[in-house]
Amino acid sequence: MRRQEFLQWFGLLGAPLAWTVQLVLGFGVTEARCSAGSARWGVGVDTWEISLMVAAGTVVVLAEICSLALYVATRDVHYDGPPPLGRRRFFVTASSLANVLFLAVILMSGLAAVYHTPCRQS
Amino acid sequence: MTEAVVPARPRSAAPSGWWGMAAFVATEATLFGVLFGSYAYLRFETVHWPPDGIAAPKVVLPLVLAGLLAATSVPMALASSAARAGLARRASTLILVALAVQSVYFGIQIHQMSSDLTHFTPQRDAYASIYYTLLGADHAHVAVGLLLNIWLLLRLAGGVTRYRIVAVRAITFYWHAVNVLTVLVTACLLSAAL
Repeated sequence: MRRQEFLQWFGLLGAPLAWTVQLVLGFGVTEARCSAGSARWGVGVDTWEISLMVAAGTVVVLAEICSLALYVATRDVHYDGPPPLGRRRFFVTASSLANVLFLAVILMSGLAAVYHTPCRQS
Repeated sequence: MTEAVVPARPRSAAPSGWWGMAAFVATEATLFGVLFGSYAYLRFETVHWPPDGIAAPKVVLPLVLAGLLAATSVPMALASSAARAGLARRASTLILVALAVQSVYFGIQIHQMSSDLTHFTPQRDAYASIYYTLLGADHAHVAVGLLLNIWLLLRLAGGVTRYRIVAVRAITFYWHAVNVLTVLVTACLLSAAL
């Protein structure tokens, strides 16, 4: 039961948290790149953005695996059934779909950040 | 030595409908988080805020209105308790009280926004864009809440069922979130007057 509880919460929250970290850190890295103080940082923005994209993407894939495993494990439960099993089924149904969207968002924002030229007014 | 046994209050787990609303509120909180971040970014990248030609926002009326809307969390919470106790009529009355106050809030806010639009449009500059985006997003959430309350009143006219109790709890949660967001949006927009 504890294992299922972990799978449920990681499957639900892993992807949004990974996306949040990528968004906030990616913004910070790009902003830092454009300020004079970070001119001799030595690490390119693209390296940061690709690393963030890969790390966040990995978390989302793991979260999706957790969700799908639990989706199969709760196949006999109705999502509106009594908690905790009903809630678990409800969460994994939602998160197994949402994780796919989060993966797309992470890939698109990561790739866009690499192709985007920072420090220039759009 | 004997120990008195105090029966523990049974822990009632929230139904899936309530969790669904919680997830929805989380996505809306993300949306507003991004808008607040955009506001702060534009604010600190701009020398004159609000820009020349746009008056600083009025302080008193928006604060009073936000307080008024936040106060409707009380009747909504009481309505939720009443519905869980099976008191349909009491729950409906409390929702009606909340709906009346929320409608007054919404009416005045729309009037204010229309008045603002005669002075400056969203296309004018960055300040105008983020001002109307934040305000418009907040008003849209209030409008959805009003429709949900009307729907709830219609459903409760037929009495209380398990499904309707979940609906009252979920919509009450929605209103708590909207009220918090409204207070934050008001504080954010009024920061231009400081």
